[in-house]
Amino acid sequence: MKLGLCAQVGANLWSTKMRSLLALLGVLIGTAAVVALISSGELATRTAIEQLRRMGTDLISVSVYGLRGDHSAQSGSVSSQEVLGFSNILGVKWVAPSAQWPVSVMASGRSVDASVLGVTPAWAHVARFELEAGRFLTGMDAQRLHCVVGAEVSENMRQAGVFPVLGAWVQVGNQHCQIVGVGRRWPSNFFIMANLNRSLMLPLTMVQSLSNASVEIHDVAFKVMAGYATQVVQNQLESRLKQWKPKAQIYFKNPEALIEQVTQQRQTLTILLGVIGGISLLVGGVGIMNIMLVALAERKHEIGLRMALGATQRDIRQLFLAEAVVLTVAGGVLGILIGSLGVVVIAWISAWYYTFLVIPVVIGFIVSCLVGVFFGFYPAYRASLLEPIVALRSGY
Amino acid sequence: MIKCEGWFKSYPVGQRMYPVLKGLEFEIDTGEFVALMGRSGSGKTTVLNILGLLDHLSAGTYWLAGQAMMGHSSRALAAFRNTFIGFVFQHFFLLPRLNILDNVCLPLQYYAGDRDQAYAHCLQLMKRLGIAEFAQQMPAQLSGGQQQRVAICRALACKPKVLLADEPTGALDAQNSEEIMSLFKELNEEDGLTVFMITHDSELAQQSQRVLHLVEGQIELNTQELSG
Repeated sequence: MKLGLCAQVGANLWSTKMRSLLALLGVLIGTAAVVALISSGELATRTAIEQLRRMGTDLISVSVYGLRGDHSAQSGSVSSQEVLGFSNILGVKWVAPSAQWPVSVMASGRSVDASVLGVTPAWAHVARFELEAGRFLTGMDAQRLHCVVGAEVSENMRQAGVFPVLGAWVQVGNQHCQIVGVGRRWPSNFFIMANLNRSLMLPLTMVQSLSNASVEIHDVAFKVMAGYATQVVQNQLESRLKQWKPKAQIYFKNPEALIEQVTQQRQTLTILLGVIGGISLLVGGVGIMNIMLVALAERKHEIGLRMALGATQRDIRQLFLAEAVVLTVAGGVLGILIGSLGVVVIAWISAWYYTFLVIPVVIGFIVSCLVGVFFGFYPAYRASLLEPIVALRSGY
Repeated sequence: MIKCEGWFKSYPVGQRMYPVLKGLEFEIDTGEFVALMGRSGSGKTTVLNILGLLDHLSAGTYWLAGQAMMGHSSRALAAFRNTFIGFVFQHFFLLPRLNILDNVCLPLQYYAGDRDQAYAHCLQLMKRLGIAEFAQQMPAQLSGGQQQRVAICRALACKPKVLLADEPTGALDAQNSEEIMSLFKELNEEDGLTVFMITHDSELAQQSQRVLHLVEGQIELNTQELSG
């Protein structure tokens, strides 16, 4: 016996299965969009933050360039003396200047696709550059033609017939350098300007000497000592640089500031994606209202009959509202399941760090319920306002 | 049980009001079986709708079981319909997606009294009216006569004081019509139920205790008055 409201609602919705399913589908897609978009935005942000943390939160990089038209000596680059001066700043553990030297690289008579980079021994620590074989450059190599190659350069050389790579000689410009170290594949780092996998690293002093000091230092990376705030150290560096080079353009990057920025943008992103998902849900809600208005038009006679049998306006309103809410809640629950599953797939494809996020699910559920009440109320209200005799005459 | 005093009812037709009832007056005692006859458009169904609290009077007074039925809220009128009045319609008006038991029990959803007792009463009624065996079947699986029995059973679910029937045999063949009329008489005589029935069939009307003839919005002929 279907005396209860729930049983009545179930029977009514079941009797129009296809229509109910289509109405439910709109809310399902909307809720799935809300859950998937908010979760994806959050996971993408978390992944970005985690990647920044992995690069090292104790890292600062600075690029120095001269103003356009300013040709005064050294105004747009950092001198070796100034690099030494950075070491005196409190909190700076390592200073790693680097300079690109645009010369060709040859091995066994064949051209090798590699960028020549002048670096100091501290570079390996700051850039977290690890070796597969051999050693990195030391202070002893400062005036020697020794170099270290990245993973891709090493692979290219192997393919060119140079084997073993370690100990082999390569021609850099007009000079021949011996490879003393082969790097492991290096994960790209937003704070290091060069791609170390495709680099051939020479001692910076040697590069400057070979190029007759035409190679300038524009990029310097710093590692901050444990216990010192990155931003505080950066402020000191900035003040020192502005003092030395008042006319230079100075660009700082530090992971903590970036993480802070990404964290601040997270809220905006979440709201934006939530609104996009919400619009889909709104469309689903309009679908529910449409379906309920059609149901109202078709069931006027039933409403009249129920009123004749003793149903009050409230009973009729409850019946229609309950049907709308059941449709949206069912759509909402299915949408949450599909949306959550979608997030797992997106996270897997995008190689994001996956965590099940409760808040988007709760938001999706609450919003779908509210959509049901909001869009279900008007048809329910209209149904309840029907005059019994007018409703009873409908359809006959 | 029912007292109608100076009933007027008009419907708007275009810009004008079309009068249907013009000072209608009649009374029905408790336990009476009254038939209302009249030509199409004479206002029979309007009378039944007003008696059943589905429609409103333009003017006049309606007394049901000693209570004036004017000025009540829609909620109060719904409660009166649920507990005082049972409706039987020409086309049965069963909900096609509910089975017979659920159709019979439909008024119980809005019943303020003891639902368990009312449910037991419904089961008894179904046995008495010979439809208990169809409890789990759907309306479309039943014949017209059987469907009308279901509708009568539904009308009696909340133990009403008055049964209002609008051409209850209009969609039935002669045999089924006779059976339904017998059932009405049985309910009237054995249970003391007040029955008010609209019919076009004078032979069926003669089976009631009194026949009212509605002409031009007024009672023109009352067989009780003639026989009295």
